[in-house]
Amino acid sequence: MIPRRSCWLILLLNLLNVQSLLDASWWSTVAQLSTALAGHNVKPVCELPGLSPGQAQVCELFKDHMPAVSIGAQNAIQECQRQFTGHRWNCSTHYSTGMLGPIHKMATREAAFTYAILSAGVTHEIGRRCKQGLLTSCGCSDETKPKNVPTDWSWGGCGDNVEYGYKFSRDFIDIREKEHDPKRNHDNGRSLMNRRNNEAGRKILKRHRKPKCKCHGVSGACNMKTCWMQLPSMEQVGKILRNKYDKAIRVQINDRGNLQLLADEATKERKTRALPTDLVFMDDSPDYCRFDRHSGTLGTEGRVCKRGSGGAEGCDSLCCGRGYNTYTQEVKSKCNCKFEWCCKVVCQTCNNVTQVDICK
Amino acid sequence: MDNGHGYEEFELLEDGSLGECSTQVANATFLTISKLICLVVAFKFIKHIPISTTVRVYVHVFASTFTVMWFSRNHLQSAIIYNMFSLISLALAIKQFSGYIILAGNISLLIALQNFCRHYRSEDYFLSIRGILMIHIMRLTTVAFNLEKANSNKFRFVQFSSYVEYIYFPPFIIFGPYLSFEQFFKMRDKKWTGSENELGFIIQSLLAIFNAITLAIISSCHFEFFEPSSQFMEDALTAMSFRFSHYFVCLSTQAFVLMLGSDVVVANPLNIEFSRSTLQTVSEWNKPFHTFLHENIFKRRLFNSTACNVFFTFAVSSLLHGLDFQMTITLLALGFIAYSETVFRKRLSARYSMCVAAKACPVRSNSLSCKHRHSNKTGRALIINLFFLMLSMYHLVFTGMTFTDDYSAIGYPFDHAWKIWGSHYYSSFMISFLFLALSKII
Repeated sequence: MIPRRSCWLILLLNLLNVQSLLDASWWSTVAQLSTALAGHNVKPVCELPGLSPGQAQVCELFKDHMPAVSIGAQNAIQECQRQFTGHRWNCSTHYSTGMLGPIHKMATREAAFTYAILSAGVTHEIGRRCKQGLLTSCGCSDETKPKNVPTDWSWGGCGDNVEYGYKFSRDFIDIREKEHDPKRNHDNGRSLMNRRNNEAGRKILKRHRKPKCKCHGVSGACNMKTCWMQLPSMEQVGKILRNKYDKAIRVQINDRGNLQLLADEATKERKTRALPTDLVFMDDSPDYCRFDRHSGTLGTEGRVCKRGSGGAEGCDSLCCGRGYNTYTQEVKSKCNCKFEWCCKVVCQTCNNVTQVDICK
Repeated sequence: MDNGHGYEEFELLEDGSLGECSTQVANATFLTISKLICLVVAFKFIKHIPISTTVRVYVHVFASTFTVMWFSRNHLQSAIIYNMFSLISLALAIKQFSGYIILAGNISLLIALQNFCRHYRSEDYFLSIRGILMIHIMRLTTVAFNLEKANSNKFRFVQFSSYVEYIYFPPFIIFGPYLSFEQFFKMRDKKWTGSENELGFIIQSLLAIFNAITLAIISSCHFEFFEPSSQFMEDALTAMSFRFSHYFVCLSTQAFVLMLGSDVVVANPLNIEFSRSTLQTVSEWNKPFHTFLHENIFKRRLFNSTACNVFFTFAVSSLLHGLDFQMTITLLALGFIAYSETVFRKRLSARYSMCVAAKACPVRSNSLSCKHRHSNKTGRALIINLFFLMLSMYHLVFTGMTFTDDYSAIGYPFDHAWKIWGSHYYSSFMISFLFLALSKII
């Protein structure tokens, strides 16, 4: 537990760095769109500070899409946290800023995973709502393209709903990486990496569509099948991306300004070409043990761990050798419920004492 | 500097653009039904063309063989298997073997084929051809029982050709329906009744086909229209999906028999969805199937005991599916549920003189109501019948929710049904045991 006096210092320091935090936490803005929608009971607010000018423009043009983007982002964050439960980096929110979603200042594997799964989440949700007919510009719209929409943008037509979600996600998310935002530095490498990982997330969703079939026939036989393509669930996407995360590829920027593979130091094997669905990163990951303002890590202090477990959630690993404190926790629950004639159920209140191990 | 310029573009591996579920299912079902409609139209004209009996027999045999090949994945294999069943059964029938022996032989052959497919990891192939073989065995058994009555001295080629034509009738091979011998020849010998009547039949058929395809779309794509909010709703949708797939088959075949000039009823979905009792559900599920079991198995009374004959009927019904534990246990469950409900309602009807039996009361010609004191119109009987209507709907969910999509093409595991029924705490069985107990008390 951080002493109370440090909270003010941290808050003050965070205010000084709010400019750089905004860049890394724009997903938090996207995830808040539905909150703004619910709170004000009006159309989503497109002036949130985390959106880039291009994204704000798309937001105005496709206001009915923004709740889907928001829910897709939230689903992705949930799945991310589920995949990394018990790990030092667990996709958690920076508690002092009150923002939603992880923050990545460095171009690490974790940043790659986060961008990929968020992109996949938005694609998934847009595609799903397309199918349900909840988005106006999905399906066979005869509306002509407005003039202020750039010419190379995809305009919703009669395409497959997954295709539409894919294109919208690409346009809305990647536009940020292509803009010259005065708020941020011109980090070409990071921008290319983000675009690459965004694309990987979207491609994984498209490639893992599977046909689902139903049998028809005499008395439960299967004389005939009717089949249709089905999207993978976010759980499946999370699992696939987790695999990609474990096998992420290190890249750097070459002289021509392109991403270039680095030799894998472990195997000394040089990959000639990365798959389109591979995740890429440029920086080594920190150990995520200590709170570090510069690298944007939260640390594992105060995390619940499992004593005696050898996995990532074990106290030895999660607490980084600092040890843990054991606390007793009283949980009240109803027990020994009996039916009394007539006519009610009477329960006793039991106090269950459990032990919780928390990292020092 | 343009940041996008340096981005290395990877080639998009575009999957083929796919329509949505409803579009794909509509296209697939219409394509299959179109092929069958071609057969129906062709044989509607063939039956009116004056050709010799010998030529007609050959036309039927070859067309049927090609139909089996056309609709199966393994063409030659399916044709050989189909004709093997025919040749063995006809040979045994001509040699005056009993219909029961031929039925048992066919079922043994079916189970042997199933084990063969299982051995070579081709269970999906067996399931794809099982429906065809089931109806085939039913027709062969019907011929066998008919031949039992025939006098061997008067057996002629004309009679034999009738049997062959009955067995090898291409429009009814894939989805059925099963027609009894009398029904088939009544249909075949029906004269051309004029363009007006034929147009009426065609319109009825097209309406049935439209309904069939609609139900197939709902069966496959119900998730597009409705997302379940609870586990019970999901189970109900699974059961509905299974039933609507069945209705698709029944209404399609209903259209075929209408086009060919028969008035045989295959199934009425409304009578099943809003059934008076589970007994009615069981008999209405597939009327031709019910006719076969009732006339060829139950009414022949192989055993003296009615209970034994009922059990034997269910056993045959189950074994016509091969060794399918899921189907066996579902049929037994339906039999048990229907039996207990019938017993209870019969007792209830007699004890309180109410018109609440499993079967509707027969209305006598000399009065407007039945013999019971509380007829259908009284409030008390109406409420009780409404309760049993709702219960029948629940039984439909209970017995149908085990037919999930994940194993339907390869066969269900042994404990699949029990696990799913366990999630409902075996409620239909509990209700049935309760009914049996109550019928002893009141």
